[in-house]
Amino acid sequence: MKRSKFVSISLLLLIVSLFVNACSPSDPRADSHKVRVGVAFPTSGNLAKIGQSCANGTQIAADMANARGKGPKIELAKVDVPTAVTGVHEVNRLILKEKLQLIVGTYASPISLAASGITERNHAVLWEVAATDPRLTRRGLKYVFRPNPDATMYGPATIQFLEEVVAPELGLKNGEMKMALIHEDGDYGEGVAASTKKAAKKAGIPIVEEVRYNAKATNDMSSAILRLKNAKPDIINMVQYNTDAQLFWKQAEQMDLNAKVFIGNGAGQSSDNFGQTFGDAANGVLDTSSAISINPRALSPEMRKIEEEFQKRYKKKFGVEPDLIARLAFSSAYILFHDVIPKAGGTDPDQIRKAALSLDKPIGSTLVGWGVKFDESGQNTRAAMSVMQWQGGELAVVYPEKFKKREPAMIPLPKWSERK
Amino acid sequence: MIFLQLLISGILIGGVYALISLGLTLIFGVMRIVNFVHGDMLMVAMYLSYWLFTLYSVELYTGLFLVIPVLAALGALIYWGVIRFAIRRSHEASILATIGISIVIQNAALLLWSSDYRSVHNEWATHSLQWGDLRISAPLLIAFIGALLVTGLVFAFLHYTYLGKAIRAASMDRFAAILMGVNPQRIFTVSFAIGTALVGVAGALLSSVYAVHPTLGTQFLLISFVVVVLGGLGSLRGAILGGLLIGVVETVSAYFIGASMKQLVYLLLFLVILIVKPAGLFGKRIPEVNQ
Repeated sequence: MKRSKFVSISLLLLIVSLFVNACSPSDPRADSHKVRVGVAFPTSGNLAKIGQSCANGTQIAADMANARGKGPKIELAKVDVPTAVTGVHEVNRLILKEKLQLIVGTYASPISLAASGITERNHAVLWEVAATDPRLTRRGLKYVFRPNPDATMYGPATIQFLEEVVAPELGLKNGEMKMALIHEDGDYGEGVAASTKKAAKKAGIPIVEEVRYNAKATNDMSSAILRLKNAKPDIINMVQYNTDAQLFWKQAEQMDLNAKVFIGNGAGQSSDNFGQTFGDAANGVLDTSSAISINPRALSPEMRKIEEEFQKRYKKKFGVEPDLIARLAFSSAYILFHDVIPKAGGTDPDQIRKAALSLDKPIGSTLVGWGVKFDESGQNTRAAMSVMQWQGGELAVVYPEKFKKREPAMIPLPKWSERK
Repeated sequence: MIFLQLLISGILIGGVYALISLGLTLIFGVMRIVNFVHGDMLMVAMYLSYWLFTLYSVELYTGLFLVIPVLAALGALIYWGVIRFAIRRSHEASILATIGISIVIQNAALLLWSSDYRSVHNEWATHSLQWGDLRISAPLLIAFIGALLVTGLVFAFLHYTYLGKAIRAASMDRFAAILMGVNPQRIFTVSFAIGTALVGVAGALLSSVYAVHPTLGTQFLLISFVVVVLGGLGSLRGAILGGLLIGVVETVSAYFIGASMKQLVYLLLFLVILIVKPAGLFGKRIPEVNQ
């Protein structure tokens, strides 16, 4: 009895869904003045904070491109992809069922790697606005584009900053600056750490300790901190997500872990929550990252206007100031919506590829200061990292010279006992 | 010296695990419910004390006395709303029901409080006691003492009050307890409320240690299941000892073997103990179906 009821209900649902399908517009591509673009970010789950900012930044980019009216009107089809598995399902659905040919996403590298396989196989474009896994653009995929830098660029940027700014400030030679690494053991942590070790080796900076930990399963950092203390490094380089970065910094104070320089790599130390939690105790912490708010001086006059408009629209629509990752997502999506789609005249993947590869914009011509020049693999070769520092509760760019908003300060960082 | 510091850190984090596991083991012991809402109740309690602190500047340790009754009421509500329909059925029913509630609570938290990572940062949060080179984290020490106190209180309640004795009776033999005039629904409501209030204590004491976000619960749920099974399902003593054991093993192995290997070490230990003592350290074998 129960079974037959179940069967009849599912049959009913099937019929209804067929009916709804039949009623939906036959082909959204038919209208040449309108294109639909899929937007896939993790807007729930443990990446939700960052994912929501990305989706918001992308929305504003579409609004502004539409207001300028250079190309077809852009409509966004937003989906939530909290994990790689949902990423595969949703991107598949967007392409096969909603007939979209262009997906903007996804922030997280595992989701992006999974989704890029789906887009490529189905002859659709993945426009990645934030994920940094180098493998994304190194697998010979034709329809993946990444305007932001990949993880291999963190290391060289950090080491260059240490050589050019920190070493003279501390009066140490490269060989005398002992560096310790602490990083989460996922793709992000391992990838960034590998690039840092490689760059450090080249510069002759000795690595005296490397501590790995699992970000999701770590409820206590004291063992890691004790190992760092034992190594007595001058520089501690962190690759951390949000919760672990906060726990690390709290326990670093409790256990009196001191070093002359603490430098993070995006995520944990880039998040506005880091500053909100620690206030003055965050001051002095450095952070190498791709998500930047640079000195407006370095931007082209046109970009300065766009920056103001972006700030205003974002505040109005979402009621908060855009954070760094929202700016990054906006910048990358705006290139697509404002430059690439009008040039391609729609979302045909081959036209998009042609238009993207033909872009040639100088440094300073995007909101985050980079230029745009994609290589054959889809990686933007004019993307760059900068180094920021928490100063007075704010994260400000201090390096490179051209982009900096403030002077680097608190090098060496005072000991905890001297900070109050 | 290093070893002593590791031992202290291990015992402190072990106290955290024990504190979180107490409610879980009580609920399982009495009702045989595998409670997946437990971690989310921790999250709700941490948000409560975070908001009390930020909006009304209620000190965390004062806020504790507001968080406990709210969580107890929430526990009773969840029991009456959902769990009581799942309790006489198979394990799958209660597992599905609690996972369902867990998803609802997590997403409600996401909707209400956004996905920001919020953490109380007062002078207590980073305070530590110093003794030579040794450092003892003040908030963790308080949480540890809290865990011991609460265990003592619950133990006394279960052994010396009528209601406590009735709870124990119902957990030993539900049918016999009913025959003796114990009202099982009342017993279950009270136990679920107490179990949830216990995790409320944990949440209030830990909101200065960990940053709270909507999916925080899952981070602690797995480890507290390990603690509870290791100590023996339903045993308070077992939860304390299991928590401490895991805390110390985790901290020491993280130092000597590597922080990303520590799960491997304590889960191996967990397997070995289950092979030697299948019912856990203090567990008694209880007949599976007993209604």
